[in-house]
Amino acid sequence: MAAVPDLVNKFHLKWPVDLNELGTLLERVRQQKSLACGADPTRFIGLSEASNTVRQLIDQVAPSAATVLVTGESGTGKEVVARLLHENSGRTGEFVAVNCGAIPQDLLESELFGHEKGAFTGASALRKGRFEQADHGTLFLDEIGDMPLSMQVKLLRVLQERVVERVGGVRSIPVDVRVVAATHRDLDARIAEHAFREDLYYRLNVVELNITPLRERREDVLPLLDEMVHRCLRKHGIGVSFADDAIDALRDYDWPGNVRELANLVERLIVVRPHATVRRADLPAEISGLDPCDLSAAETDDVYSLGDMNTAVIDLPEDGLSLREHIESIERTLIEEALAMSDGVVSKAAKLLGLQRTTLVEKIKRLEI
Amino acid sequence: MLVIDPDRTSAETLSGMIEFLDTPNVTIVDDQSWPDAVNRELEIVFLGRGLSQESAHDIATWLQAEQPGVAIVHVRDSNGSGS
Repeated sequence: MAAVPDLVNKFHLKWPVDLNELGTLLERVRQQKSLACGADPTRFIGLSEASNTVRQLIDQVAPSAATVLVTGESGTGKEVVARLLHENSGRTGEFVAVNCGAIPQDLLESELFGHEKGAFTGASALRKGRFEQADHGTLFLDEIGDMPLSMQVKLLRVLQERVVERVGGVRSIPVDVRVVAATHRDLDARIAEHAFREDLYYRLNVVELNITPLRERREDVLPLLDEMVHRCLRKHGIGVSFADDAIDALRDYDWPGNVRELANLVERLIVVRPHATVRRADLPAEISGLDPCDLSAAETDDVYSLGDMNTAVIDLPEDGLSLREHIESIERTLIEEALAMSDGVVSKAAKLLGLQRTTLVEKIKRLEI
Repeated sequence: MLVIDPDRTSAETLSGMIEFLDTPNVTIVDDQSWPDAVNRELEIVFLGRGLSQESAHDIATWLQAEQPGVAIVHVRDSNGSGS
């Protein structure tokens, strides 16, 4: 099955196509596509001194053939840096990325070095490995700290001798590959634990490029946010804006997931609050620092904007009411209004309500609208 | 959105389903005209069941290189084969 790329395996439909399955798949495609507007792979964005240093290092190092070790926490943008190193290198081959931590140990050798036909059960055809694919280009070895020791020896040999041998092959194949490796792990500690070879570390660490966590370069949050929102606007025609209190909360937050977490937040806001002005209360509690149980005032503002239902929402009759029925009644009203506003097009109504299309379909069925 | 399938009947059926699901801008391209896809701003490409795994691989790899953001869906028969 090596001939089928991941991207095709990610989305496939069985024939005859089931309508529900197709709808679910389209939702998945849209969700995954929306992630694409989060991070810009062509620039390292930021106003901080740390970001300036990264850009300067990329400019200095890219044209050389030097092996680069990119370090930094998860989500800081190590692959973006690797791509920029390749794009500014003048190398004519491809940029090929391999996540060493995601590939099972027994497949990694074949993945990196390829295999000859009949090399093992299932090797029905010759397959070039990632090194050969990246010939005259750049091979990005992500999560190198997770590479098994047995593979580290083989990688070291390739880096020293600049030749690969396919699994089951006897021929040494010369390769002209620039290697960029990355890890979020502390490789010194891995060496001390005898989990990473010291000689490989020095071979990889010709130039080290460390990316500072976002919490230590807070001045980069707004430029990153601005870029992500504008990319979404250009790409999908959907934008959001941020009130001052939301901006303050975003700048004060520590971003343990770094730029990736910020990108995911923007994607979520674009989906659930398209074209809205995001306030502090609209942000997740861990970012806003507000108690989620104490957001009634902010949320009722939104209810007013959808219709004059404030009395129905906040007035409790003296003899009480059935909360469940009342909520269903509000849901029904809003869904009917959204459907009317979108001329009955369910996907548009779902967008107005900040729901997945499938979720809205379920609600329409349940409420018998 | 683009539907690619040398088996036009199934591609049309599929595009009809997609239109029914409120997804506009569905176009069918057959196995001869699919390279025209590169000139268009694509969102999703459906590779129809008429394509073999090998052809699907080639087209998907090419499209990904030309338009990195495009999502690709391969329609296969229930037995897992492409045609």
